[in-house]
Amino acid sequence: MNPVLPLPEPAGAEDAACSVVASESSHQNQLGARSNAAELPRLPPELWTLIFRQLGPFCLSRVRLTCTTWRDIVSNSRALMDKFCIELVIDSNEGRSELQSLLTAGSGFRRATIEFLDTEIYSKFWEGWRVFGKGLTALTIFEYHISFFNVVELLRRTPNLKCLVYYEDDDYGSVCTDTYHVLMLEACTDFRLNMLEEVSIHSCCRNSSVEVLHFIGKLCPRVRTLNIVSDFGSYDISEHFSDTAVSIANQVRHSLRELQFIPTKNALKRLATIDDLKLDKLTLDAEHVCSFEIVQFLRSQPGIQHLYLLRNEIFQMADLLTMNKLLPKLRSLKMKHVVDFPPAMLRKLENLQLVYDAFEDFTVRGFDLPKLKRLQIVNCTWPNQALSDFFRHCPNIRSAQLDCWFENLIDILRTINQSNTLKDLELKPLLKNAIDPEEITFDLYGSTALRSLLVENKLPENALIAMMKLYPNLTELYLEYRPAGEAVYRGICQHLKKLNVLVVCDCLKRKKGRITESCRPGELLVIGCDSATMAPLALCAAQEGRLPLRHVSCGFLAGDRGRSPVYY
Amino acid sequence: MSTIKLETSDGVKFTVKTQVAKCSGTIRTMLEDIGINPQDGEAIPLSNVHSTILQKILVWAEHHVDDPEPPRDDADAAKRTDDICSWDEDFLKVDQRTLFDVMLAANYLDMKQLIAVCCKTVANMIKGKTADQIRKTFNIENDFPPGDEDKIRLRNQFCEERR
Repeated sequence: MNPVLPLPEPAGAEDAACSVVASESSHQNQLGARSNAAELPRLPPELWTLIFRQLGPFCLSRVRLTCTTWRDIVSNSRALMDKFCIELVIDSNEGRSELQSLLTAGSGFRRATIEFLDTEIYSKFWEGWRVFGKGLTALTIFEYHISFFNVVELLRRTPNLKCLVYYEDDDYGSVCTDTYHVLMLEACTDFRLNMLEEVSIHSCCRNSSVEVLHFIGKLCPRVRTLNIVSDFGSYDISEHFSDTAVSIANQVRHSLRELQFIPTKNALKRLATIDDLKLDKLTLDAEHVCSFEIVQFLRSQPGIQHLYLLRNEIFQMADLLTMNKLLPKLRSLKMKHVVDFPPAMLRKLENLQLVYDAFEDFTVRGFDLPKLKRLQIVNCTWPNQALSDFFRHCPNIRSAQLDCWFENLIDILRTINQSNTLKDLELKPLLKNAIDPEEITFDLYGSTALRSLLVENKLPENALIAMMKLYPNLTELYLEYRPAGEAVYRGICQHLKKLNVLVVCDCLKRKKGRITESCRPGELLVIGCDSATMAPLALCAAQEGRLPLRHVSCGFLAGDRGRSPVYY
Repeated sequence: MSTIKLETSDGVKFTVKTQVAKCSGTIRTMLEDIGINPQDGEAIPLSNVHSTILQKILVWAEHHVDDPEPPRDDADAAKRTDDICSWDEDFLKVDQRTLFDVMLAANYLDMKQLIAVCCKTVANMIKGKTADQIRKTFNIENDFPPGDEDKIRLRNQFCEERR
């Protein structure tokens, strides 16, 4: 039962006059100055917490800046604080007292990123971290500007850590001697991170990485997820490095469920011999291993549900048939260069990612994908009919990302129209043939299900407008380029009455989440228009009664004060 | 059709269909667990709810009385605030004071669906605004010590949500 809440204080007529009508929330700027902290907010903290739970980190960070009461409400809620990740850059004396109070005052942060730590200039850091570190459950460390000694000390004082992301310094080998490493490993034998479940190491695949892996293997006895990611390709991977990854997997075999690493042939063989290892998810960055060896390995792991094969294995039909038998629980699959699948395999999949290198033809036939929800296809050529056939056989598809070489636009449109469940579409159409606008209006039925559309490279204006007509329920439209003509903006105002977000700018693709989070319902948020294109858009919007319109620059996403945009 | 009586903080008595009143978890518990017998003609006192607000809440309950049980909370659903049905949207087009009073009463009466839709409405008033605009909207005073706010802003950067 909810506790009985006190009745709100009756307030005078002046308060009622000040109060704001919810539906007019965009016109409140004139209402500012008459504030009186005693009257509002009148809701108890638990209700504010419920409200704040509806917000993402971007909005929440602004809530925290509003007043001390709200800051404390956010800080005192674990669920809300989980949405934040604080970035610590400790490279100077500046703001030292604030940092000290942040670290010691139980600021509530549970996730942190440390990019720069110079403890020489900031001697009291460890005192603060003792308190701060206890609260942390997730930590990202960039080794570039943090000495290995300090990394050990950070981890020693972060006993409740559940998730560690570690970016290894690519110069590491040159500055550290082997003796130094041995000393470090000895220094960290006196503590364990027993809560740690997830470790990601962004490695440079040098032999020095081996030491880091040993270090992790020693520290973290209950790892569930181990990702060893190579950000620099895997071509010079050493046997020793790959072998070490297997040794670590062996050490934590009882708890390990998800593994990503860069295998060599022998390492994979050794991994298959670990008896108690039961993986759900496997990601292999396997340039040096042939498909036969991978299939052989899968015999030892029948429980795999998610399989991601990142590099150039060539799988033949026979391999795939065997693989399908070996993995009865398979739900997600990522592969390269596969142009045909056993139907029984496709029937199981919920998530399919196919990558091609040289615009290979997609020739999958006779398929049926009743469970497929997410599809991503990169660099492939679709014969005219094949793609729309494909979509016809995916009755539950929700999102699709197609970076493909199409014969013409009509093929794409026909395809999308085969689906009445597709909500989210990202297109990078490379059109072979120009389109005839006459053709677009003919013979096509739109989809009312589609909500979000992203077009990565330039489409002819008339094609884009035709698409708007076909998908009237779009709420988000992302164009990774700036359309030149007014016609596109007029089309948007005329056809997309429900549009909430319009982005005409590149580089923002990966920030979709943050963009939708910042838009207010009932308005059109426009990002990335220059003043030359904004004027016609505003004019069209006014003519079509499509208001209110809010225009922000890309920098808007970085913060309140027009700081430069941060691209990920 | 059975009815029960409810009495508000200002002494107004409402006769309400039992089924509608049971939209409130608090009243449901009173009737079912504590065994208050509505046939006695005795009104259930709702000492924290004013008659104008109860009136409004009963309109909402009447409209939603046949709604199916909401699905269990999942993380995905919690993030959407644009799925308020248009009837509710119109219903909550009220001044902020009334909105908050409805919310407090819904909380007291334990009406989860109404609380949820109120939360989304208030969240929508926060979304996309700067701290300054939020203060104006809710009439909040900036009580950070001078200079402090900037420092917090400086340190309070955040990353994209994981995955």
